[in-house]
Amino acid sequence: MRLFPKHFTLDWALLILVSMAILTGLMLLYSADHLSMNLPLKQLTKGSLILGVILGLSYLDERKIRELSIPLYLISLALLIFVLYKGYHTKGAQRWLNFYLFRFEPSELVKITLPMALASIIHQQGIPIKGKTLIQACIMIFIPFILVLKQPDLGTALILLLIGGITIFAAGLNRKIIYGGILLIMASLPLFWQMLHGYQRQRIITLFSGDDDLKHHGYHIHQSKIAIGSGGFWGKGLGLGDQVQLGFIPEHKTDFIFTVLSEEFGFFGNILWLCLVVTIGLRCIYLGYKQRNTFNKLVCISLSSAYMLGSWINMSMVCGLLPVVGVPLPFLSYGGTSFVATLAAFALILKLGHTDPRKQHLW
Amino acid sequence: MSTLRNRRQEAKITLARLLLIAAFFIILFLILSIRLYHLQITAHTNYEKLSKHNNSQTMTLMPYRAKILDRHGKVIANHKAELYALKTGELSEKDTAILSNRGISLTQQLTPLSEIDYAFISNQPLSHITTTHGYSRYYPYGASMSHLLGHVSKTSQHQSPDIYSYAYTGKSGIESTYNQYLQGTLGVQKNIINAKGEVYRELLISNPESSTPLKLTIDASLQSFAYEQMSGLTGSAIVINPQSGEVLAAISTPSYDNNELDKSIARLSQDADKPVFNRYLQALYPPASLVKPFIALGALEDDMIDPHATINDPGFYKVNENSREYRNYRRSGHGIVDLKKALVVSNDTYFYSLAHKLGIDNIANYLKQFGFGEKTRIQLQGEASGVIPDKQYRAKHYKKWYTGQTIIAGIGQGDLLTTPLQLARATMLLANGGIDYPLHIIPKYVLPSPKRLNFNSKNLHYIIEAMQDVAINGTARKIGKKPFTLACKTGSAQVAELKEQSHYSHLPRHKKDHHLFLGFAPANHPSVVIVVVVEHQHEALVVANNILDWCYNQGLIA
Repeated sequence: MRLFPKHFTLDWALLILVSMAILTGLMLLYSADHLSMNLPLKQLTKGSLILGVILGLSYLDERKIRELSIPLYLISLALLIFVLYKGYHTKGAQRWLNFYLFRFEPSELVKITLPMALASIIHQQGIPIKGKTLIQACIMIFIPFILVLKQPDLGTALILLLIGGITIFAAGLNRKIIYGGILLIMASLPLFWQMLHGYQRQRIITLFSGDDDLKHHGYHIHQSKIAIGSGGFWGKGLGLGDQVQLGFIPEHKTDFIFTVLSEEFGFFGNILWLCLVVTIGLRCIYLGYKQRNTFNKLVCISLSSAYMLGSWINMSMVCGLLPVVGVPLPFLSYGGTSFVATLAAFALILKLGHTDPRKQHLW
Repeated sequence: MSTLRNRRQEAKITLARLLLIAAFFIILFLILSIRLYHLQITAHTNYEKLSKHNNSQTMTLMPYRAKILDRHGKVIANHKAELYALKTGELSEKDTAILSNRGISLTQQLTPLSEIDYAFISNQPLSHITTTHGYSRYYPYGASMSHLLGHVSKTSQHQSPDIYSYAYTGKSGIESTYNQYLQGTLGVQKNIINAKGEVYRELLISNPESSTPLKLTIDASLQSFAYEQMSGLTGSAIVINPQSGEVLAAISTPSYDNNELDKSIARLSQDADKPVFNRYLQALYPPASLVKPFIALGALEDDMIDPHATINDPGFYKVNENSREYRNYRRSGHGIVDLKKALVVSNDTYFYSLAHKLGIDNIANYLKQFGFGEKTRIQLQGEASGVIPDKQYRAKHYKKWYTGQTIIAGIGQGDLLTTPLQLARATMLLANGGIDYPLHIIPKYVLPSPKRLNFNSKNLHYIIEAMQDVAINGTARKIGKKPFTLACKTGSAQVAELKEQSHYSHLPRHKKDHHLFLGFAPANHPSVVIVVVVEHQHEALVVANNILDWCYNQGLIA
């Protein structure tokens, strides 16, 4: 199989949109690194691993991918368990695996493998999802959810839960079960509260307590709100965001990179970015809709949902709508795992979500 | 047996659900947009302010405080470089330990450093701390000028949180009166600071500008000479130019070193000798015999007395047969006394009877026209206005005013109180024929046209002649032999009442008389007026004599 077959075709619209997002991310890293190319180049270097993924994908067709889904899912579960024992501690959580050459965050991997695995079992059973498959799917969601929660990484855990939920929902889950599920979730909220760690609770309290206790638990959020708010409509310009450039935003290169966008490009830049995110997401859902194959459909839909959800949770957290959870902003946040995982997800969508399903095998 | 699939059914279910999913995300992102709109558009101004507050720091740049010069351009107030450590935030424990090993403790935001410590801190990678330099005020003449120049204090940070370098504010003397001018124009610098509190960028808004040096009418060499003469004594000495009202020297002793005032203020304010108290400006003394020429001139102008009329002085004055005796300082009396002799020998009996004759209202009026009882409005703060027992004063302080009080007012005792500056002003009025130049230390470009008292020149000459005679034959004859003409008057103000004169030498020091001297020279066209007050000691005459000789030698009396 050739890397670029004769009838090489792609969804150009999505490719262009994704490229725009990547370029935006590199530009923001350039600014976040005080107008130095160092960080963007590092990000690109790490991102170049995606070439391997693309090479791998080019040898596979959708069927092989489907068959590989469950093993990949199991591998990622194994890594998640491994990380709990051998993981690398950073900021109170155990999320990283150290492979000497690079560090790796398995919870990013499971964000891709979980939708794939779910799609594959639903594909086998057919839509609408029900019975044994439903129970199997719930277990498949629940295991990584618990493992990630143990790290502890509440944000990613909730994303996994939601992606799983959306996938099952898209797969035609019975309405009665949906209503029942919502009731169950409502009922279990107090229990959930009990399970939270002290600092997680504190973050939620901070969210509702307004501007109290700024210097401690609310400091990050307060500073990032200042950065966002002081950006105004047009922003302060590339590299000119005082809050960001003077170091008032901790983690401004990673989880809080949205503050760079907000402060330097203002409301205008933010809206453009939000539109880009939604357009990418909806384009993927559209691509999924066009597919005949249930597996392809569901993978496209759930991966794009994961993308939008991750983006939304990160931005909402940065502007104080949600409590602080460690979720990166896809395409923008500095970090190899997240960047490669995002690119891999879109490579997969481009592969499986080909506008002309008959040509998918050509890729 | 594979299940047959209804592909259409599948597609339909999924479409409805997909639209729901899309709608769900669109709503989520709309909520986020609204949130961003609120932060970036509605609350933008507020957050912009918070951002500025975060990272900008306004620094006031202090210009050098202007120099002060004496009348010949000698520098009498200057500045001296000082080195500081400036704290910009909380120090880490490690840094504090490094500093305390060196014996440096930074308790304040701005701490003065020695040169070695300055070099040490400059070369250490400490965060939240930088070195800066400033200056302190320096007075080369120290104690001799301190009441005149006053002192400055460093503006504390509580008064203005934005000032990171110390600002100097004049607290007394010329430093206080002319504070605004001496301070110059403040400069402003905006610093952009990062989250660690380090200065990231500096932005000069406006440059500080020093004022040009302030020139005084004071003669620094005369001032230090006079201070030497007064050293060891308590009191004050004033030299003014009666042709302009310029103050050439003004001394108050004991004094203090205004270079060190910050460190010693607590001790000084406890001192029983009150060194911080400005005696020529604030101390009130009975003028004693010094009022005699003024009362006499007033009475002559008013035609209340005939200068040739005489009285017989038996050594005391009695209002009537039954009254008490008001004693002359010479118990045996001066015999036949006319006005001139009364002035020359400072006869008390003559002035008791004159006062009795004039009445307290006339005395008060005569003294008032010489500026007693009102401030001289010299350019120093905290001046006392003295006391003249006029109608208002008497109504306020006494139910009944006794004749005896009027009589002792005739020799400048009792309720009368004056400051040395008032005496200088009154003497100037005698010396220059009644032109009331405002006493001043800073040359004024536009002097208000002075008020003028019109004396009958015959009367004025009579008094001045008598005062010249004081120096030759009278109470100041010890210093009379001069190459220039001198008109003067001495006085001794009683502090404690005595039954017998012989007891005087046994009095404790603080109950002994004050000795006062006023004079001007040369007598016909005076260029120097001098007033000396020495508390509880005799040396007024000696001090005045030395200062006058100095003035003559320096060509001030010509």
